[in-house]
Amino acid sequence: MRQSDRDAVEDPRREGEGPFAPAPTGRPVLVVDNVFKAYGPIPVLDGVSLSVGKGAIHGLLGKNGAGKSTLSNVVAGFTRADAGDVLLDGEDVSSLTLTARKKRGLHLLSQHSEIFEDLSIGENLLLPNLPRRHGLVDWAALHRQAGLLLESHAMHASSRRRAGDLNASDRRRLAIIRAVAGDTKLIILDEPTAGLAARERQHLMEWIEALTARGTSFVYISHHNDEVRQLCSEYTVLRDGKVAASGGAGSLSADGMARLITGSDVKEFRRVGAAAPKPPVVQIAGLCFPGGGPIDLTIGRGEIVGLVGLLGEGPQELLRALGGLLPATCGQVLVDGRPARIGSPAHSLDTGIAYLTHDRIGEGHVASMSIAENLSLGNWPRQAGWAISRSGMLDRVRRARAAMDVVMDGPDQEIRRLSGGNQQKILLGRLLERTPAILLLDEPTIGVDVAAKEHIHRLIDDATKRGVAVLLIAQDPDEMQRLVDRVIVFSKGRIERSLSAEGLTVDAIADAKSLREKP
Amino acid sequence: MNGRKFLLDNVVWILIIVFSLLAGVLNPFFLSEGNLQNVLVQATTLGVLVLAVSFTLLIGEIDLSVVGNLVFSGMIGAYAMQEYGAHWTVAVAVTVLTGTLIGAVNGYFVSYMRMNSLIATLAMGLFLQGAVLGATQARTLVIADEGYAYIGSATIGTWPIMPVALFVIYLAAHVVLAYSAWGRNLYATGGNRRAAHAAGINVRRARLGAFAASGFLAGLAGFLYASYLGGVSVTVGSTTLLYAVAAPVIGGVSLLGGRGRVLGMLGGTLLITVIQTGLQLINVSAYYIQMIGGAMILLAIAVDAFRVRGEEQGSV
Repeated sequence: MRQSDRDAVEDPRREGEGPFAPAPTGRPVLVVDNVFKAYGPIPVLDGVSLSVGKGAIHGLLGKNGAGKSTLSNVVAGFTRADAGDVLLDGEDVSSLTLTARKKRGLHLLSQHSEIFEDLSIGENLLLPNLPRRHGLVDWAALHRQAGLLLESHAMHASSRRRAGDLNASDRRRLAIIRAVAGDTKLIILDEPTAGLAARERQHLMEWIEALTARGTSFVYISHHNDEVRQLCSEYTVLRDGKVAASGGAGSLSADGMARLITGSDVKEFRRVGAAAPKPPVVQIAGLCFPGGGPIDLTIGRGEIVGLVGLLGEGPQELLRALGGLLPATCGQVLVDGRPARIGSPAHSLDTGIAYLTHDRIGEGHVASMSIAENLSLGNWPRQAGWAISRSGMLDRVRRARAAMDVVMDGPDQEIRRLSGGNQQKILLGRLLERTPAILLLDEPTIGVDVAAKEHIHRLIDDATKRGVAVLLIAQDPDEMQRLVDRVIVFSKGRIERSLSAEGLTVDAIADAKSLREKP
Repeated sequence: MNGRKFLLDNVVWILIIVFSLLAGVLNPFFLSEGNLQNVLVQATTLGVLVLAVSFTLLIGEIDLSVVGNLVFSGMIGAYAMQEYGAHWTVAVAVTVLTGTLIGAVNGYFVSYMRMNSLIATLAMGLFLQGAVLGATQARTLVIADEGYAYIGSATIGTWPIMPVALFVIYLAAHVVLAYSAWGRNLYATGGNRRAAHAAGINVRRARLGAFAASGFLAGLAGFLYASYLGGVSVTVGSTTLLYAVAAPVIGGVSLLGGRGRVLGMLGGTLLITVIQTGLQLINVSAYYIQMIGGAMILLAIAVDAFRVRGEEQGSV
């Protein structure tokens, strides 16, 4: 018999007792005991305990800022906890260094898969212990060993290939095999499926599951609740640095899980699109760019058009070309009937085309600058022509705060201190301050918690009510289905077909994607 | 925690005080009014060079041609007076303009031709110093013009007015870097170039601008130095460039770009000047001064690394 998740909420420290004994076989591989960690006055981990059974996949859930990353850093040894212990196979590793913990078989794989792109797959697998003969690298032995490793982990690639040429999911596999290769006890996977297409996600998940047969345990961090429900045998939900619930994963419904994560009911936003035909705002005529074209597309006032296609097959490239981040080699773009200059982001923004990147850290915010400055970046409110108007910046922060419910200490706080969802709201706010004719949204809710995701959906919908047109890319077919008025399917850089109102089901969108995934 | 952060952020001022007191104990003259004047005068040329380097550090690049630029633009100004009989105000304008142009050329190399700034400006600096060496045959160009030499030699009461230039220039730099759109674009470009570009900032122009500003300041330093010495000599101390790069880092300017305050740059300048003059006054053999200077810089930068490590835990 299992306890309902409601009981789990009320008594967060139930793990390890009765029906919640988390280790299916013998004693747990990992025990985290009452860990505290604070940055400044704010506690990030406030007495967190959990245990992971041998051969188990332990789902770690929580909003951004709930403490998942800090907890994995404490476990892996990137940071020391202020109090509390980390036990690996019964041994207290709390005071050991990162390297020492790795030697004992404890690994953390972050979202940015850690591979050496310019080295071969074989070198990637065997570093830092390359086989040697007479002090020099023994290449024959290296590729023999690496080949065996690849084979035994069901990864089909030559060990001589350059690792950087692998696709996204094989990179993740490579990183995981690298970690599993030694005498590995536990691997923490931080969003291993981020950025992968649905079918690839599924394959990767099945592959990970197969690895547990060798007795390796996993801590699996994901924003995709369905992944956790499918893959994990046990789970822990963190909220505000505390364990909100834990137990066997089978007992949880999707709703229950979302409720545990946010601490309140999240109502999914569903857009009600206007049926009436819309006057065109943006007309794209014969537009070519590296990786695609020519593209003809007209987007109407207040319309949300979803773009579907594999990575590198056109959708992202179209958005980047329109946003001025890729050169347009032929064709033209009309905004409100006037030809638009799209040679650089500055030009695109000036003509009312606003692009929101999927790469928040690399291309979105300037981490060392304040919230107020990031909100006004490239569009400074000026006084006397040259100086930045402080009051103008503060006005914008006030507006963003009111409209978007951004949680912050103040306008001068560094933006990197905010959660992913709040950072994303600031970036969206920066674009909205320019009152664009069209928003180009490339994964607007990537790495964002459930509550912020719904909020961002609502903000996008609100913008369309003011007449803003939207081109949207979203990995999640469900998210896309709830937002868009029609969908354009890309194949090999060209528009292949479109799905309009009646054909717009989640399955149809998912199918449109998976069709493209066949070789 | 915040107290610790405050301490680390202002470590340069603490070091200045500690070192001054130490030097004052060993030689009371160090804490006299006369020596304070001396320190500030010495700090003026270095301080302006430090600003010049800092402008390029803020965008994550570096300008190693500032010393070469200083002597070259100083020489052009001196020639303008000697050969063409230019009025000293014209000569000052020519000096500063020469510096700015050289900076703009550096900026074009780095920003538009994508040359590596470390190597490009190093080569530019060698070229300029070599050009001065060749043109002057290593002779000192004497500047007799009283107007040109005024700022470097005039006093109000017993106080030289040269440090006034230092503080005015630093104040102007602070206003530009902290309050102007142009200045904030430099920080944004240095903090995250791709994000600045995507936000609509003209990153190439900002980067060229940072080098032009660096050249402008190097030219200004060229004028101040020539005015102070009453001439132009190719033999600027070989350690000047090292100090001009070290001082901003000591003052908390990040070598990776995007971080650094003008007050810190001033602190770095003063600390280095205090160490130099202090060591001379406590009769440390001249042969050891460079060694001790190097050790002090290492110490200050170690503190900086410690500060950064506190912020970015877990990075390698």
